[in-house]
Amino acid sequence: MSQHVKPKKGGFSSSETRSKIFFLAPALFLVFVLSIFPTIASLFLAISRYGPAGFGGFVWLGNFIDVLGNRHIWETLGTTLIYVVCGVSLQYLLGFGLALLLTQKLRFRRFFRVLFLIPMMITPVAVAYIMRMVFDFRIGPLAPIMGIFGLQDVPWLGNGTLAKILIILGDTWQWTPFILIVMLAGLETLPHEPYEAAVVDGATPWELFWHITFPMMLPVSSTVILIRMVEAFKIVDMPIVLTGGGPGVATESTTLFAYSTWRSFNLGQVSAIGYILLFTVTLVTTLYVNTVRRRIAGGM
Amino acid sequence: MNKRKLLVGSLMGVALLAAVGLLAAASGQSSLKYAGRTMTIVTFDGPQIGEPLKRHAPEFEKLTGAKINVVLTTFSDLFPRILTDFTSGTNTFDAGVFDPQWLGDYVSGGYLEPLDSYIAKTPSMKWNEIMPFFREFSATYAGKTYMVPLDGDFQMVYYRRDLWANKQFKADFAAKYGYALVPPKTWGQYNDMAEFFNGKTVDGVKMYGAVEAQKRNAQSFWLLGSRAGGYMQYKGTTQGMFFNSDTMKPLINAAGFVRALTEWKNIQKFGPPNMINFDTGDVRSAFVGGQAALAIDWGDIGSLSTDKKTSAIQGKLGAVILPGSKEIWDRSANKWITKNAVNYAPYAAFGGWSGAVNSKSKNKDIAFDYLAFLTQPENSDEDVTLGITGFNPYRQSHFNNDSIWIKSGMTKEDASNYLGAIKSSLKSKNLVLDIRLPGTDRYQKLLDEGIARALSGEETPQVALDGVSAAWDKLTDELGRKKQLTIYRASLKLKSLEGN
Amino acid sequence: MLERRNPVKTFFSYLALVIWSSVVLVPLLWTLTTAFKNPIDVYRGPKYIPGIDFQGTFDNWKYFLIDQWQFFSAQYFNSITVAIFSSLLCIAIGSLAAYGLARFSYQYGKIQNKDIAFWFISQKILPPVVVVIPLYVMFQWLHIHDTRFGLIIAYAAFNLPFAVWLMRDYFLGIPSELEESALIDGCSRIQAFVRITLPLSAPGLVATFLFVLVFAWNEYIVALFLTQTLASQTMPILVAGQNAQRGPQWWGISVLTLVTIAPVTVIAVILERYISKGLLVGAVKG
Repeated sequence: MSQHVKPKKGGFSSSETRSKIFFLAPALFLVFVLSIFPTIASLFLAISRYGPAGFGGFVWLGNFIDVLGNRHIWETLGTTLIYVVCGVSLQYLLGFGLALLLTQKLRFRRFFRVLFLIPMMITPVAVAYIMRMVFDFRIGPLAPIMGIFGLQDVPWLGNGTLAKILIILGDTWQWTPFILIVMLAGLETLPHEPYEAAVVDGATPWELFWHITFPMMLPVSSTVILIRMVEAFKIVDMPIVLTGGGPGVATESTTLFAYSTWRSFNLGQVSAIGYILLFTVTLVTTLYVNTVRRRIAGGM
Repeated sequence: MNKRKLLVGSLMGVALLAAVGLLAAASGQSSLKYAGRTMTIVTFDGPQIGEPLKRHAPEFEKLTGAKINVVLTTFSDLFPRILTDFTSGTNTFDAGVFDPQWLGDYVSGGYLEPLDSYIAKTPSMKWNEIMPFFREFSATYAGKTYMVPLDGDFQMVYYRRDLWANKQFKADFAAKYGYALVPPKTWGQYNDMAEFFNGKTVDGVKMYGAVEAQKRNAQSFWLLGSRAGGYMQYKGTTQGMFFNSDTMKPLINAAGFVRALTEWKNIQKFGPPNMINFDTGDVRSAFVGGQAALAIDWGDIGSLSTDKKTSAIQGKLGAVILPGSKEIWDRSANKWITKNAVNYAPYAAFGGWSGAVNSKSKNKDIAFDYLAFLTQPENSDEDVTLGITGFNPYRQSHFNNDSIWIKSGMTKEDASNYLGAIKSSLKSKNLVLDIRLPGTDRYQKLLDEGIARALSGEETPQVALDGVSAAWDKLTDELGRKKQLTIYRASLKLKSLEGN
Repeated sequence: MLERRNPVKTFFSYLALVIWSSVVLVPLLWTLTTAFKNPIDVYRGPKYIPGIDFQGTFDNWKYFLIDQWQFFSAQYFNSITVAIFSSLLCIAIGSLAAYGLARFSYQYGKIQNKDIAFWFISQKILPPVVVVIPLYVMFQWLHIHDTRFGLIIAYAAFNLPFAVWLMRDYFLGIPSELEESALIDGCSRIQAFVRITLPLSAPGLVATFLFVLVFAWNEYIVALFLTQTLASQTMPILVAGQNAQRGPQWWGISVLTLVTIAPVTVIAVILERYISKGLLVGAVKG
């Protein structure tokens, strides 16, 4: 995505082929070795019938036809898309906003910087449990406030839409810190010169942000959104703990669907669901990467 | 020189001492049967099941020399975790403590060791004192014994004895419904009582009528079975209620199940506003916390109610066999029939945590001996009464002896009431057996989804269960109808059909 | 950036800080108070302050820190070892690759830099449940199942794609003129990278390190399969175990949450100072 800053071709001596490979090789090797076997194995599983009794013959596209022919997968894909789009947008806005706030010269800035990171440091399943306590409006910490507004008896997690909103809020509580810290580091590495020049020209703070900060932060922004998107597609702890995917199938994400299929050791179908998700995520992220890259190229 | 000599001398002395010590230690150990060996046992995490397994390990080591390594996994990951070990041929687990419903998948794969000969050789485990249902149905599969029961599981109705004894409530109830307030005998009465108590204030707490686990991907499968038993099964355990035992056609969309699901959805009006999101944990905390008049659960509420740190209802616990019905669905004639007596069909949901031995383990002897050690009355008598364990009563010594319960903090009334409900359920000849087929987990998951769609109002109970029935049929065909039918019949102790 | 601050703007800045702080704090404080509760105080909530509206207890702490010390301490130690070493490894390898992708252009047939980068990230898309069982079998083969070493390698590899992407963007943000002058002065490419680019990208390095650290610290499902005994089991497995047949052990989850936040917070406090301006400005101007 960040290809707007073209790698400097020939900027350095061309005898660097060896060091070029040296830089990339360890990472390629490690990821390749650890992913090659699982990838082959899961492809094999996706075209097989594989259950508790072990391998039960090849079914080729049978698993895919079974999964895609059932409304369940489509329902969960829709729900997952809602989580991804709403959750990641909200987290980006909050995270970027807070990062801007924390680059200002404010008292206790360093305290806030660490405090705001804490939600990210809790293991996801524990965050989900903490959120379940907080969202319990009868015996949770917010009970008195909800009581005042008479909202205690609203079936918060018993209503599909409300439950989705709470799940997105819980996810946002946990992952806004990630965007915050990456954006903060990005802001802190921005060069000073463009600002100085613009201030001399009498630019307002808004103009500084819109014409300098925001465009310069676009590469980091697009990366951080991409990473969050890839992760958000795999959301599972929050729905499983808060609602188990219910009411009905209203809050069930595709990964939760895969997870519960895996729990039955129906490995063929799990792999098929995994590849369907892989296809969807690749489609969405490629669309996103291409759109954003054009936007970055046009904007600069 | 002298110094040096001294040093060498003392070093030698130390070495000698160490050698003697080692020898002594070695010879001391070798007198124990399993000295120097380690047995790995896998089970469900959390204090409930893992705790007793870990707690008894040092005593067992002292007796036999075997080191017990307990591997813990969350309940939801236990089934695939064990299977991964078995199917990949790794076999690091010598034994496991798990749900007997999984026997279908584990025994078909040839992963478990038949235990009959071991049991015959181990009188100390007092096998015959284990309640017959667990010995004969739960622990066996296709005629052989594969498991050692460590826990007794079936669902009951809990009620608050103090509310049912209250004169004002008794009078009000009789005036409103025209019959006396006694523990519910039928689902109709259960519904009336939930309605009656919902919203009443007791000890400053606003009561819910009933709490039941309706959450998705939790325990709803078993709750529906508990509510349907009385409508579906009336000819004894061998009748079964999930499939037609001649054709393997699902009975899950029969009128009895549809009625149970419809009533279950209606109970939402008399429960907490979030009840559709309650799992057993929420049910237990609400009931033991003193916030509900009625609850359906396994035996756990009984042992939880004794713990002062947990319970607001010490001395107020009432338990009774699952309600039944006078109207029963006749599946062959496809119509409702009416009986004079209430038909009870308590549901042995889940079947109780039980231990099994990996057939490819090198430590089968230790594995079995440890399981036998856990179940013998000296150990299990205490375990079943402790709030921290998830073990519920399953052998005679647990019932015949109130004192172990009173020692654990239960009042005498609570104990006799609780054990009475358990006994009346276990004595029933009409206990409903849970699904125990290859693919059990997949059947359950499909039903769970259907129940959730009905409870959320997305579909009517009939439409939702018709969907489940179709999905079950498809699954049965995938797994082999003939094979499934044979296993289903064997699990009910029916003769195999001719021609099969 | 602006020297004189508008009081109204300052007020709103602080207001925003306070609001978000309370959003962050309410769940955390609730966790803190729950860690001192008996089950009954959870069920009959909401109760807020031990000693005032409920009788506090240290039993939950005692359970893990004394009764279960043997298990707890081993898992805690494993978590710390695995998280730190895997993150260091990940950052080392990841920043090399990121630097390569940022500064050189690779071309192998039709494969270019962006394709390599996307290949990295695409390795993160499959849900973990699809890959854990093959991984388990593979680690058994390699005899690194149930070892800290195995987990370190696995986490380093899993987090690499993120490290590569993030570091590449930070490197791209750093002007390459400084390196060029260093190269002219006779530095090797590696020297230029280590002495100039890395220090200049300290904020990004720290942010990425923290992120990777947190991922390794909190990972559950892979740890569940790749570990088995106290030789390698990590904290998230202990936390997940608190979701019990009896319902979630809220008090246990709370204690474990607090003790697991602690070391990462300490690391964050130590490293936070490096996420700040100055380094770069000084270097560019100097």
